[in-house]
Amino acid sequence: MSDERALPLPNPGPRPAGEVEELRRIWAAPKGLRFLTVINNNYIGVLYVGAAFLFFVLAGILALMMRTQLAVAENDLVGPTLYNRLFTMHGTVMMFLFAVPVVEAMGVLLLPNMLGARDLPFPRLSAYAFWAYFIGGTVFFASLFVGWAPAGGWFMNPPLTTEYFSPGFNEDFWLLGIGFIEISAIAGAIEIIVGVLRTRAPGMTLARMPLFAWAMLVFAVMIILAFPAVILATALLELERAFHWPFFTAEAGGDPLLWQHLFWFFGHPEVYVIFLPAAGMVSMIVPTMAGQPLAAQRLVILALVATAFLSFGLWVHHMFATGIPGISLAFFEAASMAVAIPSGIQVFAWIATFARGRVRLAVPTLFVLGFLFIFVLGGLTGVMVAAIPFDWQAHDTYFVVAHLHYVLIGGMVFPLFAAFYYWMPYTSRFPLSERVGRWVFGLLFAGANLTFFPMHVLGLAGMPRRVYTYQSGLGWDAINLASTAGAFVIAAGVLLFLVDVARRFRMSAEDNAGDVWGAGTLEWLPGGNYSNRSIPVVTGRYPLWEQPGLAKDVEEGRYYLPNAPTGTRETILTSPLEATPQVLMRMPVPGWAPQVAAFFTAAFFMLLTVKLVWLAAACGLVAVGALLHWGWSLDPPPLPDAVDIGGGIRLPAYASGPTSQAWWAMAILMLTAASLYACAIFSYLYLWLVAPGTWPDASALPRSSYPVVSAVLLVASSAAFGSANGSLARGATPAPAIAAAIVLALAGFGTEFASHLAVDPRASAYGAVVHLFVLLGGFFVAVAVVLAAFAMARRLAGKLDRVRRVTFDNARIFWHYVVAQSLVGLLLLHGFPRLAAP
Amino acid sequence: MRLIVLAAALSSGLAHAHAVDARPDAYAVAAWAVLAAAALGYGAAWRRGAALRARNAAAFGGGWTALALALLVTPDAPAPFALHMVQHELMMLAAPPLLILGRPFTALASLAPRPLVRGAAIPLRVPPLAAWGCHAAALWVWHVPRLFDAAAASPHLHALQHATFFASALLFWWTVFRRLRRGTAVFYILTTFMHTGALAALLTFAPAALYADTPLAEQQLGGLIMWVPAGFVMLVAGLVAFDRLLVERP
Repeated sequence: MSDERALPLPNPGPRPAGEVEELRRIWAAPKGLRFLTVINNNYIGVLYVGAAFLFFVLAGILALMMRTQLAVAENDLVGPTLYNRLFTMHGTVMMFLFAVPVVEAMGVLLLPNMLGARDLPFPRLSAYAFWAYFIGGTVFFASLFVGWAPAGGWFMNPPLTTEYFSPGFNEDFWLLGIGFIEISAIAGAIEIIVGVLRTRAPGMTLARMPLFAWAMLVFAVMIILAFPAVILATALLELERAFHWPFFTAEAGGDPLLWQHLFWFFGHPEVYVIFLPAAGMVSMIVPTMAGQPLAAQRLVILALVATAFLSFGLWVHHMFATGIPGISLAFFEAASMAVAIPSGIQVFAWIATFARGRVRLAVPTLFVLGFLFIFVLGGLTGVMVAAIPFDWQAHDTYFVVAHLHYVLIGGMVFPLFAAFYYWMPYTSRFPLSERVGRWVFGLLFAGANLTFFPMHVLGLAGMPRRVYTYQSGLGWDAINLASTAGAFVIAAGVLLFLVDVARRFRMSAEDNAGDVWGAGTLEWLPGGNYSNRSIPVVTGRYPLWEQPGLAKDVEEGRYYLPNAPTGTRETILTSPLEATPQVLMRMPVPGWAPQVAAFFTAAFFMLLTVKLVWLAAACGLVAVGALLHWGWSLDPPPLPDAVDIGGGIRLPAYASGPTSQAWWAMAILMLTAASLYACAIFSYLYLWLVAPGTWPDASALPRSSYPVVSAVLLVASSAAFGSANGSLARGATPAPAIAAAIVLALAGFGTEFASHLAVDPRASAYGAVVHLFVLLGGFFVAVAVVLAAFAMARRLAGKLDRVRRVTFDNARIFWHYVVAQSLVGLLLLHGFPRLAAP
Repeated sequence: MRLIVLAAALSSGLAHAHAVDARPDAYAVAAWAVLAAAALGYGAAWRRGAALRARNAAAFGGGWTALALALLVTPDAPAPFALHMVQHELMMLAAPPLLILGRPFTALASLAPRPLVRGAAIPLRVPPLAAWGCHAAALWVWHVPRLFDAAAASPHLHALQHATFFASALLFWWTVFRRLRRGTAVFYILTTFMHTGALAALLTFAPAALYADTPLAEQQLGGLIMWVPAGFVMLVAGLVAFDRLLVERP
């Protein structure tokens, strides 16, 4: 590495005075009430982690209530109705409001500094995701206090959750609330993917990227591909509950198992969405605590990817007891066991790293060791329930409760606590107390094992899960009491942790406690809200270990971008694989639009839940208005000159097309849309397989002239948009061609809409799914039209020309996507029944 | 062009596998002829010292064997669905990537004039998303029960089915190999893994038999073969593609 160090520094000379002060001023957080508009990742990250931890504590309190109820036989503290709500809310809040958001929050907090960027590429999107989640989550939790909390279990299986068996708003709160919070998770995932792929420090190739960034990249891709399934599922169930479209009602050709397929297509990856970032954190902490690079880094990265891959093929192993074909069981049993291989690779890599180095037994290390112990036990019981004869025995007993808590507490909560202790000096003026931390660890470790280990025995002794009480004399009494005692030990540990946080945590980016562990990665460079004074060149996996003097050189501005040449917030966009600098990206400053949009989006969904439709619509309009206002400030005018960032590199301060961050975000959004649409196609075909009798024969289908006309109009609208592109490139106005495209697309959709008017969505699953496609088609066309009209408005306002064209390009690629998707829909709705009819 | 013609003829020959009568039909004869020609041609290139390594030759041999096996798998009518599935997976998942790893164009270049080799490569220059779409469309459309049954009943349609399976898979894998350095290869493999899994899930969980002369259990086994072992091959391919991204290049 010493010859690498000899590379000339980009800005070797002394810097002019006042640059740091200017960076500080530009990146300062707003004061007073305007602090609510803060968007910098340091603040949003801390708020986000804090909110998620609040939900952890709240869901933990629900667990304590359940454990208190179960402490003795035939207890009457909590009745069956409340108990059902408690376990539903406990599971739901832990999974959707704590586990996923908290890792996303850690990503927001840590990634920019770890990658050497000044901030994430879309800071206002992070703020929007956070506020939408926090407001929506709080209202969702509050449903418990007014008796509206859902009671159908965290996976909401119909038919129990259909309107017939669960009338009232309760399940709607789950469906709309969770569906909405998933949208916020997707917004965060887009942010993380673009951040990891496009804002890494120069020289940080994929192979040199820190493991946590790898894990977050895999995590975000999994969210993009898997979460649309649960969004679609919640939409279907809500359509069934509100409008009686029978997707899940067997007598009308629906199938409750469709829910399980969609839910677990999301739910299985969800387990790894939670675990992989935690594993990524461990892969950061272990090398520091051992003073050694991570063993087998390349294998560990491959293990992350393999786990993600596998998780998309394995959802069925949550459905072993649903009566799936016997012949399939052996296949899935084998495939389920294969998951042990990538997990094993990681565990052995951590052990090997510890074995090679001198381990410092600080609190993060203790939590990592606790994680290894508990997680491996959870993994072992996982292999047990992957064996089908055993699974059928243990299904829906406390054995499963024990297994999933070992996996989640071991695989997620312990790494998270390790991360809290490890990264506290990064975000706070003081680290947490080592002495108190040992007590916290001891209480949590003893408590977790005392609570959940006896549950294995309980399950094998036959106690089913989700019962609000039990009779004495079944041999369950003492075990339950022990388990309840354990739960309170955990609570004591969490309480002690909170006390220590209250005493020691003082948020600060500028004079944080700093690199107390002697770590090797970039987030430990000194800095402020602007992240690093200058953006370093990275030559290895552990720059702080391998590049001596790096911290001083960075702080004195000897690397890239030591100042703010355009006078506003900026960071460097780099190429996705090799991280070569491409563009100087100018970044937004705080404003109210994201917060207003988040508040009214949340209000829209929550009011819809309680069927205040008009008020909800009004809130929705305000939200859309705020989003448009926000969008109007995007795509700032190009600067004529390239900007010098040092080392002889001059970067353009404006980009459009595939180099721009906006293009990437739109591409990823389209991928999300495609995943949603693919799930809808799966649902259509699945319902056909279940009840082909409800499908009409060819004579009862809309005449074939309808889809032909619709397809012609849609293709023509795409062509019109293409010609708008040509006009813009020539410097002419694209507005007339865009207007033509809008008219053609609306006509194309109208034709398709009209062709299905005779079908009643309430009569059969066929009708329901056909109208689902009409609904989806309409939604996508509407969004495309809004984007296109927005581009036209920009043109009229003089904000769109042949150079400044990001809004137009985004509308254009989305337009072509929507047309392609609609054509697939036409083929499916009109072509498939003709081919499939007997 | 020659390779494409070879490929098309070869794959159409696979229709032999389901020929309703025992008489060897023209497609099968052509297929074997093409296989023989390919082997001879590759051998000649090897002897002439084409820039091929032993592992290229081994890959080509493996791909060749996979195709030959697919030809030899001749399920008697009524064709068992699961065996049929194995044959299709050999044609789509085993043979194409191995043949490509055998560097057929390098071999061809030592036998044929340069313009001809270039011409032969033209059809492979489609955008990756289009190749991905062709492969997906071929897979999904042919599994519509009526089309699948029609192909099983007619040797000509059957040849067409196999030709589209093999050619679209060749196109797909070619694109994947070309995109190895750009990272998008992983994306195409992952999404293909997912949509083939979805199709396999539909076949596995269908409550009734979908295809003529196919008992339900047979159909489920076919679906599972498409899902788990074939998915495993995709997984390995995806990981290999991914590993290429982690190589430090100077």
